[in-house]
Amino acid sequence: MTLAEAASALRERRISSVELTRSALDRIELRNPSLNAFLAVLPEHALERAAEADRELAVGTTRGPLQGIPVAIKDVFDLRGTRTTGGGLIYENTPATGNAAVVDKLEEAGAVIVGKLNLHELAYGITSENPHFGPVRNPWNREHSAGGSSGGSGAAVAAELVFAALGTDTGGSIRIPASFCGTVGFKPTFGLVSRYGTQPLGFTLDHVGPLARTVRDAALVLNATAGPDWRDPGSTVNELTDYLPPERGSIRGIRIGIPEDWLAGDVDEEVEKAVRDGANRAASLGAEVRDVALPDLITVNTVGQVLLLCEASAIFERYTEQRNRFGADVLSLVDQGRLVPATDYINAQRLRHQLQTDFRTVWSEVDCLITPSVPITAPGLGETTIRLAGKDVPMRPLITRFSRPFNVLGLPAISVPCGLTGDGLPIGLQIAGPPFGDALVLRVAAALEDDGIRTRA
Amino acid sequence: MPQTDWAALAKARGVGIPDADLERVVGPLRALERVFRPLALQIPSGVSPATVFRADVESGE
Repeated sequence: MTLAEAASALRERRISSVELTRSALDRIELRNPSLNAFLAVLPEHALERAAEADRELAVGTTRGPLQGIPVAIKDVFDLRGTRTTGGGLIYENTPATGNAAVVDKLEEAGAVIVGKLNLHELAYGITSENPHFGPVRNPWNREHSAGGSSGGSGAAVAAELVFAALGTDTGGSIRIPASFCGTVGFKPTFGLVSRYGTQPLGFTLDHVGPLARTVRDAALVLNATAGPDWRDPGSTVNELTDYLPPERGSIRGIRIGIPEDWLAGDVDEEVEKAVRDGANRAASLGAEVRDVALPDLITVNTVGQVLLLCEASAIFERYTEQRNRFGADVLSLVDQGRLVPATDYINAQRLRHQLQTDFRTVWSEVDCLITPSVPITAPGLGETTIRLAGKDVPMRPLITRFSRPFNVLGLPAISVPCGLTGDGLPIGLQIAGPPFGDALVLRVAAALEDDGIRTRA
Repeated sequence: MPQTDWAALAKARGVGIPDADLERVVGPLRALERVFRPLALQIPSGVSPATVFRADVESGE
């Protein structure tokens, strides 16, 4: 059952929110011990909210499609009365005194938050092999990574423990777990969803967005959470309020770019084939699919690395005297960022400005782009390199290769499941668009989903 | 192009990175510097950073 279908069932009183929520809590109890997706389950809070939703629905008070729907949030969002660990020890005793902006919006929409989700330590990594709370395991194969940093969000949605989850994405942290776990994951345009009350990692790179079972479900969560907020300095005003793709919406005539230069490097053969099949599917639906030249991929990613090292270390430096409270990989990154000179940070921001200008030309040639979300499928837990085309490739830069550029540029990007490998692991196709082209990206993704891309032959 | 001696820099700055952790820090910085510095040297002087300070920003904090 999708979120949209559950919403219809609730409105038509074929099911109650308490029943849906009890079912979610039962599934969490059954499956979470083997997945480790949740850091905290909140049955009392959830059942109270569910009963309230049922009372409102009974008297005709409607709040929209999220009303009464069980959802979960990555443990970087403040939820009043709970601690926000960020998946780390440095924050473990920090109780939230208020709600994150997106939590308020979910609750105003009537959503039922059933718990807080595991993640890569401090959201600073892509495996969710958390040294303090244990690894999130991939529902498709528990010996494989769920991806990160929003790994609990990906696993919880993929295992159907909740209908949707919120994640954050600083270099791919929504789209990577979505790709590895076979769910939809959407990173909106920078500024579209408020980050107030969300633990920061990279001030100019952080985005908040949904992971969900379908594109339209993700759009419904975006509808409920988008909007300007003066408390977030990156927040922007955008008039559009309905991102839900139309049923059977056409993509005829939409110009889709395939950046062949970007695909020329290390990409798993099965992943590349699935993504090219997806592009061909778009062409068969009437889209104009063509090669497009983009700014150099290594340049965009290098700029992103410098920005993130510096911004993250600015946040975490105050905790570095407690070195034993960090995992090794995160501590190394924090140490690296403390040594990068300020001139490098400023120059990375200048290069970013140039890249933004270069991308304006791209959007005069195409309406959106298709790439793999990640060049590979979910790696085994503990792996740090992968063998591709006869050579060992370091995992971290490989996994963020196609996702990080859209954080550097602040552009909307979605990961949509586009089939399985021979080993039975999900593959993700990424669609990215121009600034505030969120509705277009969702529309193209929905058209591919409607056409059966998830279960391609 | 001369490479930064990251280990010496870490010690000189006194940021408290133990010797045992230095190699895991220095290796990635060397690799990043090799790619980044040539890019930075090519930026035209008139290009501003992508961050903007706004004097009229609302603030309730």
